Amino acid sequence: MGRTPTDRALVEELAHEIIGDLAPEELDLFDDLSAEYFANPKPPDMSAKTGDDALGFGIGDMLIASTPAAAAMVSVVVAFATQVIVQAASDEASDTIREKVKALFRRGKGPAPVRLSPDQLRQMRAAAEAEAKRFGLSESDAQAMADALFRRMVLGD
Amino acid sequence: MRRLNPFAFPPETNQRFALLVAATGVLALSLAEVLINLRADASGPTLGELSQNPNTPFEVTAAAAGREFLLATGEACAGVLAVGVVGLVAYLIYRGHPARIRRRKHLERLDPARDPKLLETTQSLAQEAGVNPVPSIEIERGSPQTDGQAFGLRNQPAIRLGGRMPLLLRRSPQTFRAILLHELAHICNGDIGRTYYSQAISIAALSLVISPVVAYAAGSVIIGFVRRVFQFAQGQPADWRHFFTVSIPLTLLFLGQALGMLALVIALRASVLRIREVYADWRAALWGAEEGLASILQHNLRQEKEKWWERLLRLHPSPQQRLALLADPSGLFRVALDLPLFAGMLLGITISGLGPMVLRSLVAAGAGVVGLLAVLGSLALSGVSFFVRFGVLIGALFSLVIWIIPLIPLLGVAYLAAESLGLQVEREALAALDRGRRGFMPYLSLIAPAMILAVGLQIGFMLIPLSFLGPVHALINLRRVLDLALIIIETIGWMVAATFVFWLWLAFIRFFGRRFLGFHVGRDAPQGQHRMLRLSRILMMGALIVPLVIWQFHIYRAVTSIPVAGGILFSIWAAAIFLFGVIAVGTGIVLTISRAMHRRVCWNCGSAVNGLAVKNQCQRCGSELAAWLYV
Repeated sequence: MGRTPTDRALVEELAHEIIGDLAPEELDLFDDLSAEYFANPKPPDMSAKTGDDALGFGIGDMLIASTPAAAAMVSVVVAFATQVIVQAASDEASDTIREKVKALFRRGKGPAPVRLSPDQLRQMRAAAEAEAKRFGLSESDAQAMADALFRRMVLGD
Repeated sequence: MRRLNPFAFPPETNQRFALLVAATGVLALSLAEVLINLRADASGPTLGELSQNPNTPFEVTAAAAGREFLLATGEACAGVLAVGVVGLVAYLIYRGHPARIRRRKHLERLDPARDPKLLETTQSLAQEAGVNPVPSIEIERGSPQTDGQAFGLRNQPAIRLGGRMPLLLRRSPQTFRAILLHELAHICNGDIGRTYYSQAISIAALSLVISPVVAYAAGSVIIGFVRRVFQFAQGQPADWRHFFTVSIPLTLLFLGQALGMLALVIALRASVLRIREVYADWRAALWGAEEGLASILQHNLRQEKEKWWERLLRLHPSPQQRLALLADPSGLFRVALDLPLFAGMLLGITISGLGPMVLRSLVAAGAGVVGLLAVLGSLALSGVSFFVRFGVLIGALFSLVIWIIPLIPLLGVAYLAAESLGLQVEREALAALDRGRRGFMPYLSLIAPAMILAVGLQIGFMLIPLSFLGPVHALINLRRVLDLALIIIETIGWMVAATFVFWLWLAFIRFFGRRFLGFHVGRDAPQGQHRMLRLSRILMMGALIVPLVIWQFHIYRAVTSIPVAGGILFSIWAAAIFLFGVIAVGTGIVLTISRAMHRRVCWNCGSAVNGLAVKNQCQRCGSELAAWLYV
């Protein structure tokens, strides 16, 4: 299933909330950083170094932004959830499936549309953490980001 | 903590950069020289041949003088044209650098509505640093880097910021500030023009001078080989001996010279840029970014995993060197040994490259004067038409102008060489005063830079193709081993003499720097004394260079057509040493009188001061007497 404007809006909304919790200093750059991610949803090249440009000066290694990592992590989790919901109700229209996916991350606003098994939750969390790390976050930052997302999904915080 | 002020003197790299530009122009001249040497010899009797016969009619002399004048002028113009073409191409490459950087880095001009905080911060830092006009900020969208790079044209400076700089501003404002102030310091230090122009001139030299020399050398040997193969296949005699003993060695020599020039251009550019980085660090530190800079450099030091050869070619010093120079700038006051080597090589290249042009101009001027005399003679006899007389008269006047033109670059080169090394020795003398180093040992230590300057000068003479002053290509024509041995022995003698006279020159600079600049009291650097010392060292360098250049003709007398008798050389040496002494004594007298006429008082409290100013404080108010030397 390709990414639709609804998916993007959902990913952006969730990522924005996570960034608000974990990296509030990035909030006023959120639109730029998230647009950058959607334009090129690949993890940064971690081996890239600052070039030896004449008159160039800076920090030798790159600065990891949390926003693309959050957007990537949410994208993976949304895709996973969509797959689970599609498998559970293959006869439903795609619009209904999208509504259910959205509702899954909006627990505080209504009942859970689908019950995820502990095994499925574990898999989703592992994939989320791995994706955050792929985007350059440290182990602890990736865990904190995944925690923030799953807290919202499971507990409705 | 009291530290030496790196900006107490102008950086010597300004002169080294100018020497690079001058040397590139001369390399273009040398290419024109190669091309001129390919043309067929002119027909008809020369002025020299005509002068053997006292019965030559005036009109024949006038015609020969006119022909020689036009030929020499044309050759000189070809050289000027070659320099002009290289200069123009370099200028166009330089003008295009902002567009190239914008294209390569996909830069986007900062939109005030998109990130007002970033715009406001950069503008306020530029105002704080006094950089005017405020540079335009251009973002490398999508890049994960946190770096900056100054670029742009005069009055249109710009700073590229890596894509994560806006984020850095939010996460670590001090680090952002240090990076931006460092780039603003490059603008303030005038590094943009020098850096990108030196880059442009390196590209122009490589593509228009060095590559054609390599192509010419390789092409001629390939053509020679193919021709001989065809001759051999057709059963004709092929001169393989000439091919292996002349063509191949000459080609290898030209290739070696081209590679040497290439290495010189690359190494010189990198060394100049490396030092400019340290000056930019220091300027930014004086604006209050020292802590931020140190933390970035320490971070980069931990990340550094470069191989030694990568470090050699880098345009930036290692973080370790930068940290050390930031903590203690006295390293900027030392005479590093690469400085005399570069100064010597560039001086050698420039003098050797300008030599043929000077000679041609002299020939043109001489021919013009002979033509003028011939016309004056013919006026009496009325044997030549009015137009010929008028043409030669104009030519003769023009020749005087041509005679003057080559002297300008020669004087300029003496100035640049004297300033690049002389200024640094002066700085070193004052740093030694600050450290309390006295005695003869610091003077003895100047032998090493003097020797390296001499070696560099000799290498510079030999480095350009078909060199005028180091014609190693002509050694192929030597028929006797004894002649070669004599050239080697005399070259060693030349080195010893050059080392001695350069040491004298450096010792003079050191002595007078301590004697006069070390006593200067005030907050501003001594301008008048500095100008006087500068003029003296340039004149001295000019005086010492002349016998060294003339000696080169004597060394290569077996293979060149400009013989110099030993007696003439001795007289020139005597004159040069005498002139050196006169300038030294004269400078000493003028500066002593000037100092005696000015009462030395503390710049802060106005009380009278005695003795050395450097390292000493006013006994009444405790102010640093030579405040201009410290930060």
